[in-house]
Amino acid sequence: MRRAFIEELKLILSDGGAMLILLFAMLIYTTIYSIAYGAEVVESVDIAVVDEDHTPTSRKLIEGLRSGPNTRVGYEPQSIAEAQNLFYRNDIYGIVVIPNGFERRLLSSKSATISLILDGSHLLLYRQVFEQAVTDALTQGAEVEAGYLVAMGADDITIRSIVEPVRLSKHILYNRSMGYGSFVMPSIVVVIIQQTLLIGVAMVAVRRRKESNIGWGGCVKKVVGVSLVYVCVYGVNLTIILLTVWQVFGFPMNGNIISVALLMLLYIIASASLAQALSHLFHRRETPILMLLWSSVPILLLAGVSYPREAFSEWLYIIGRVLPSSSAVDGFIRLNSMGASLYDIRTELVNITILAILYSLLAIILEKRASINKNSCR
Amino acid sequence: MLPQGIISVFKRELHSIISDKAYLAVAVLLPLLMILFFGVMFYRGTIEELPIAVVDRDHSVMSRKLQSMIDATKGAKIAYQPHSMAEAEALMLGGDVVAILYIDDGFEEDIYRGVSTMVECYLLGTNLSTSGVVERDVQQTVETFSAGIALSKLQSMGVGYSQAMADIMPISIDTHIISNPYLNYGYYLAPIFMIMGMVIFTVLSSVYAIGRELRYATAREWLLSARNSLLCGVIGKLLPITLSMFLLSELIYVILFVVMGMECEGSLLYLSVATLILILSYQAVAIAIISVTANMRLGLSLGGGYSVMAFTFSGITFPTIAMFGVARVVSKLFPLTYFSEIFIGQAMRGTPLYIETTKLLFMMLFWVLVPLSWRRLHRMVESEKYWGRE
Repeated sequence: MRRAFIEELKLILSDGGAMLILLFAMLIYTTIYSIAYGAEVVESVDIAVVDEDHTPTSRKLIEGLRSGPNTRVGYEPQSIAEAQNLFYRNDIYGIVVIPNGFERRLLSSKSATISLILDGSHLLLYRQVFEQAVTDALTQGAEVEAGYLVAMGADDITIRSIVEPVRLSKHILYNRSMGYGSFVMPSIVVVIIQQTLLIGVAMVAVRRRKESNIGWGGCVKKVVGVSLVYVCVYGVNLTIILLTVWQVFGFPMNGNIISVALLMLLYIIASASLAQALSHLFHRRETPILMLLWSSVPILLLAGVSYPREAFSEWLYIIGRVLPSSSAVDGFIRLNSMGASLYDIRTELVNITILAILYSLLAIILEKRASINKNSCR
Repeated sequence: MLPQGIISVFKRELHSIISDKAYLAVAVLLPLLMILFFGVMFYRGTIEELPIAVVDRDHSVMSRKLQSMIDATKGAKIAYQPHSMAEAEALMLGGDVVAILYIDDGFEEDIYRGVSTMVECYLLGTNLSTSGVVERDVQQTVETFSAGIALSKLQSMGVGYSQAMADIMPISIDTHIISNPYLNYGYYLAPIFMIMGMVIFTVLSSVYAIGRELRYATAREWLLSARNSLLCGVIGKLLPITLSMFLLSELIYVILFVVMGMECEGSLLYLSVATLILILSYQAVAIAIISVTANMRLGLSLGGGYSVMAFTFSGITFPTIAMFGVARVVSKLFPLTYFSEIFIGQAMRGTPLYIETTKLLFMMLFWVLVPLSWRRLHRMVESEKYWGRE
């Protein structure tokens, strides 16, 4: 086993291409993605307000939209056509129209309507603009309503019970700022571990498969030895990432270190053995990149987290479970971001353990078969 | 008519694609598979019936009414009714629910006594897609529920129905969504995912097409077949890939606009032209990558990484305008960024064409990479010292 371990390490270190993928890619990709997603929240989205009313009441509503935090009034065009042009140029992501007579209607206790023209082509931007506009309009509406009630002679308690009989109090758990990076980065890092292993291990294996005539014991030692190399390499890599990138960008780290380490240990073994089994498909060092690189994004989706499982077919989700990454993404987020216990993620743990065993067995059988084929060739 | 050199290299390349399984896979089969995968993945396009837990400590007619209103929304489904918050949190940590609603004892009593009361909602901050949907539906439901109570209260005070309505909702909002009006996640994500898939394979297969001549030391043969013109050689070689990817992109549009039922608000012809320019831009990048690395495997690693990353920086998931300054600059280095704006403009918004032209020109800027890397490419093809590298 020690021989297989040392041999694999030597093979990695003597191949620049394999080193790039197995030793450095994880850190490089994680850093670059974190830079893209690190800003976390979408704030101050530019919108335009077409104020046809020009009254103190309409100005007050605009002030609310201006002070955000979700939106910023970038433009106050004279007409809707002008605003639409700004929208086509991507200068703004929403238009609020305050019609003529807005204040007059409110003062005569009639309901006034404002128009909200929104862009559904980017759902995250849509949500920010929608939420801000609705909140501001409701807040101002409530003030107006309270004004009517005061005029009717109602007391404070009655006013509150009518303006807001039932209030919703929202609490965000585990990722208080609702940061985007904190949402996607845990999934991404887990998928990167598996994908770089699948490509890198196959690349190394093409050069390794020269021996023949090994017994079952030899095959077991070989597969276990190789997996151990990657447990060490990826263990170190992951620790570095959690200690640097995760700290710099402030991604959630609420987990128990030992639990996280156990999950990741099982996951790396499962991925490394799957990678060894798959490596028998390749005979040239470049084919693993050609054949496997594309699958990262589909695999991320199949985990059913960043794109929720409720949004796609159940059978696709079930197929996804044969990949170690699917359970690991789920387990890692719950353990490390939410602070769940190993008991909470037992389904995922059992699934990954089964996969680790199955794929190790498969890798051993294929290793044995490869050595038999080698003999018969001679 | 095309020069003879181009035609003979084109034929030679078709032969290679058919006889080299890996080549056939990256130039035709895998991109096809990936496009179909995304089609199936995003076909439904809506996030519905997300499981939530309700802890109802009040057990009243009012609390049950609120529950059934929430259960009736599209986004949320009451999957569990645990007795305590501790139980509910265990469900959340176990991954069974994405939100918890807490209705305290005295909810109904407060309403009848005319005291403002509260419902608590705990959302899973680690998943923005699910919490966004649940938050919106729960918020709207509670507002409606609340308005209903206010309405009956005002009526009991002797205010007429229509006046009471105006009093409760003095400012009403009339929402028009001008692109993607049904807020379909499939329409929003599927196009750029599919195009990204096509882009990855454009880069991989183009790097592979040139790289394999160096790797297997057949560069001289290639040049010979091109009548010793490198220009004819490169055109004849990359043309089959251009055609294959262009056909795949048209298939993408058939899937989006016919099968998935998306409406194209602008010009489909313009979109097709932009797609062709996008493919050529990525092929120019591929030529630069293989020239700089002079090594197929390294070229594939870099090219693959570059094209996968384009997706992140294109701003379709996390908007470019919200990124850090440095990331906003990096996002300009990918043709896909310009293309996704053109796509949204044409497919979803019907943006006037003259506005899109600058973006088209920006994509074409990447073509400059070809003349820039030409001398080095020339040297590699001629000199044996670049051949046979693994």
